Amino acid sequence: MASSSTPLLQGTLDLIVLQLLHAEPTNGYDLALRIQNTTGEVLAVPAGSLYPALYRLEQRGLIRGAWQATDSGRRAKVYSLTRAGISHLNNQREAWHRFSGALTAILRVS
Amino acid sequence: MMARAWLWLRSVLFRGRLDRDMDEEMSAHLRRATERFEASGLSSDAARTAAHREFGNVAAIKEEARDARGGRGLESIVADLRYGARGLSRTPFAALTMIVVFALGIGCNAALFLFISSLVNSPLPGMSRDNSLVRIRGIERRAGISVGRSSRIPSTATTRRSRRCFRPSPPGHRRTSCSM
Repeated sequence: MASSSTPLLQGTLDLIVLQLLHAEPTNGYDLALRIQNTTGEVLAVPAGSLYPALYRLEQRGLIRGAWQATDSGRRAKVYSLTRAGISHLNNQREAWHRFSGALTAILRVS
Repeated sequence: MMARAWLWLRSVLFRGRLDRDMDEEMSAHLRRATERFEASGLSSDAARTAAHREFGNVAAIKEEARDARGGRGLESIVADLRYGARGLSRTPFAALTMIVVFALGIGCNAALFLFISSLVNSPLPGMSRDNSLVRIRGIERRAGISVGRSSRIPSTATTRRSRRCFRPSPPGHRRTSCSM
């Protein structure tokens, strides 16, 4: 994982984490890789931001972590969305679409 | 709401177990990153160094993650109390003196408060609380602003003439104001 080429907008990390965990429950390491791969390495979330975000979301009851055995016989903490997390994600997604639409409209002004 | 309360309580009660879980989770992250760097051709030492560099300062991240988990407020209060108790147990005589001084101070204050309170707020001994008794306090309006003033003799005479205000209130109802 290279250092982040584009800094994350404030408040978007929660949305990224919730969306990717909604698509597929996974552990912290694979989540970090998936963020990087999905965005074509434009976004890279360092562990220093990712783990506090995961614990914060877990503490807010939006995601749930459970230890599971992996194929290699080790344990991994796999995070998935709770029902509250799904509803929070839907709200956040809608808010983001509204915000990005409004910002795009402003950026078209010449 | 209950779920949030339970999560908060869990972060306080099972701090040790949650810390061990966090250690294991971050070690697994570092191990897999090391394996990835090794697979890309680095020696095991160089791969471990690269994985740590990519991960960042482990101790600082753990500290931040503990903050994110919550329950730190209570943890620090407990830590402060323990620190205070240890300090006091090292100097027992000073601690005893402080406790006695505090106890005397609080006791004196409480006694004085009770005395003044019974003197001011309760009826005199032998007198029952009479609802037909009222306290008369004048409020004067000057340029739209209410200004409190003590009653004077002439206004007391006016008050006496205005009997409307002194009809007995229904039980349980306390009249708070009456304009004349």
